[in-house]
Amino acid sequence: MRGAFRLILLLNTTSVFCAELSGELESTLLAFGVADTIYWQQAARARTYLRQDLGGGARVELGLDATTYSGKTSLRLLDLLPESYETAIDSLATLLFGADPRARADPPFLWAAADAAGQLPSFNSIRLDRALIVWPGPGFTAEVGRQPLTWGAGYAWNPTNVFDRKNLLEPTRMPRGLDAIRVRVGRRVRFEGVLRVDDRPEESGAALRASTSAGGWDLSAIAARQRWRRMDWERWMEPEKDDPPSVVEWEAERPYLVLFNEEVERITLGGDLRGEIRGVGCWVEAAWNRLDLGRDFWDLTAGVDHLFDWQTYLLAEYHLEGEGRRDPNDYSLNDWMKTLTGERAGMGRHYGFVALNHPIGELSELSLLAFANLSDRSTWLEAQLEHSLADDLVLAAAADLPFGGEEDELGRFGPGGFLRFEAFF
Amino acid sequence: MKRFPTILLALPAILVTNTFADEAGEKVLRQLDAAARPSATRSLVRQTIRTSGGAERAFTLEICTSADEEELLLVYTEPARVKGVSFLMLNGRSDTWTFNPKTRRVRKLTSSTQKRRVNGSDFTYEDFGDAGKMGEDYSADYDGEETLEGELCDRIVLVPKPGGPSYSKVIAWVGREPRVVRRADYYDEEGEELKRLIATDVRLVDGAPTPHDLLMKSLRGDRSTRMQLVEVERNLEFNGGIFTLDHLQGR
Repeated sequence: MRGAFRLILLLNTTSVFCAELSGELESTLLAFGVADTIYWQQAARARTYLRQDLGGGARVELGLDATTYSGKTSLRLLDLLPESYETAIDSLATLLFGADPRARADPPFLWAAADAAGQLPSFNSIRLDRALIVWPGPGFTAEVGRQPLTWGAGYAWNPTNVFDRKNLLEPTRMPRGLDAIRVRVGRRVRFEGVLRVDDRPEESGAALRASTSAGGWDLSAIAARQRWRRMDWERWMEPEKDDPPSVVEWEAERPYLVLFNEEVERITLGGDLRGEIRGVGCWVEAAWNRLDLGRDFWDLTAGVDHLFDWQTYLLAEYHLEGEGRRDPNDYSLNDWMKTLTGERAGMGRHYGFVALNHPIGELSELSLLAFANLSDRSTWLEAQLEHSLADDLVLAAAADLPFGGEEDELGRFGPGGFLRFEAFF
Repeated sequence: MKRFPTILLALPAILVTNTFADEAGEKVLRQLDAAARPSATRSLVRQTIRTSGGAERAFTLEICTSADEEELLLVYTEPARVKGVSFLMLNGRSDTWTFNPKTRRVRKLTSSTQKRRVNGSDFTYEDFGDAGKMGEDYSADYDGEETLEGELCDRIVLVPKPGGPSYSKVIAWVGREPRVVRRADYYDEEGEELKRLIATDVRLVDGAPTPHDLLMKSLRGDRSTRMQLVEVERNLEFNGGIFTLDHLQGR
């Protein structure tokens, strides 16, 4: 009988020199609306993972993530900004590019920023997503190399997740790999020490996290320090504050870094708590960020979840974006650009997220999601249906409907949706 | 707070207004606990979900329990879509954490979420309960004897103690030789019939009667979930603390 079981395993995983190969293929047809136009895009994504046990609990993991796009891949970033900013952007483009009509129409520094932030999924890419060695030493586990660094009890937002940021529209997507060295020790109280390795040693970050469970509650505390590259998209408007940007200063590949870059030391102190009260799951996660340049700020997320007897799952979350604006009339070019490039989670101060999930039969699940900027009252609604076509083949379909005014965070977008096949091997 | 007996020795729970257990029922329950003989165990299980539309979905799971069976680690090994999805039960299996390899996150389940059907099956998280300690969770009333598939069984009604499982009641048919649950009918919190467990292919594994085939049939639709024990090893010694959150996170 034992032999029979192993045969089954072999039929479903590919052995390459005793290593274990797995992966995922994904094909997505996406429709997205910007202003009054609906665009189409198709994306193909392949992820492959190789895992090899090295004996004694040690292992190595390798992962590649490749994505190609076709269809509408050249969206103007200016289309995502309210018309009131076109004059400002045009002034800057004129300053930098003179009368070049193409550059003025779609300034390349906006593209460079969006590309670096990975916010607009229109660039074909192959990236090493995992390159990790795990070594369980005496009383500790060391993880060295490219790996996901994910922390926090929150679902849509994680203020303590200091080195990465979730994709708000798909928070359950696989997090990207980051170069880091992580050491974990302890059982009842668990400690994690992380050194996040960046291009330059002085830009590397470090974090220490402790977590434990007590009285049915999970709690953790984190302290982190990092050099944070921030963009000031309005600095050029104040020539007395700084020299006006000059094309001569451009760094060939990342001009925006020279033009708008600020190096900020960020110290984060935070923690989270998760448990339940009368059958309702509840959590709170908060982080205080001290900056050596600019205003210190708090981020906070609190949420609840519950499974009803009829198998409907409800999750609701509130988020306080410490740097966000209470009054949407105060939105600035900086707010828009920092949000579009992923530097900040949003422009407003208060956010809400609600998700309802219900199984349809045994093979399908229907999810209804609402994501709202409570400060300007713009909202994004999404209905998502996931259906298992075969053991390792899933079809997902979603329809999006944003609401809001022209100057609101989500109001620039139009209706959209996607159809996605996911195959696992 | 203990939950249900291990799915392999499964027996469900009850929550009814009748809270007065009788001696005969308690005796059967004690004998059931004694026969379970907890030990550190690793099991490989083939799970097949048959949907109301006739489709089938197959999973393979590895289930490890600690020596006192207070702790349980379940890992999906097949199909690729759910491979690596794990859950860890600690503190007498009253606390459950899940690990999703895709997001690399460990998340604690609330007591309400433990009623969720796992991966579309007819088993919920709380069905993966504690064997051998049923008496800590339930009161039992003797409800007569009945022959099932040619075997004489004692029928008992299990009533969860405060803080117990979410079912309103479970009626269990317990075989006499060996002492093992042969059938169990689950009732929801409104007292309506919910699902039925049928345990067959009972073999003695290191002296413990162990059903190798469990069929959970929904009584509200034409669907079912079968769990077949492919391999089981008992009296193991797990090194390296596999029943820890650190191990779950580092998988």
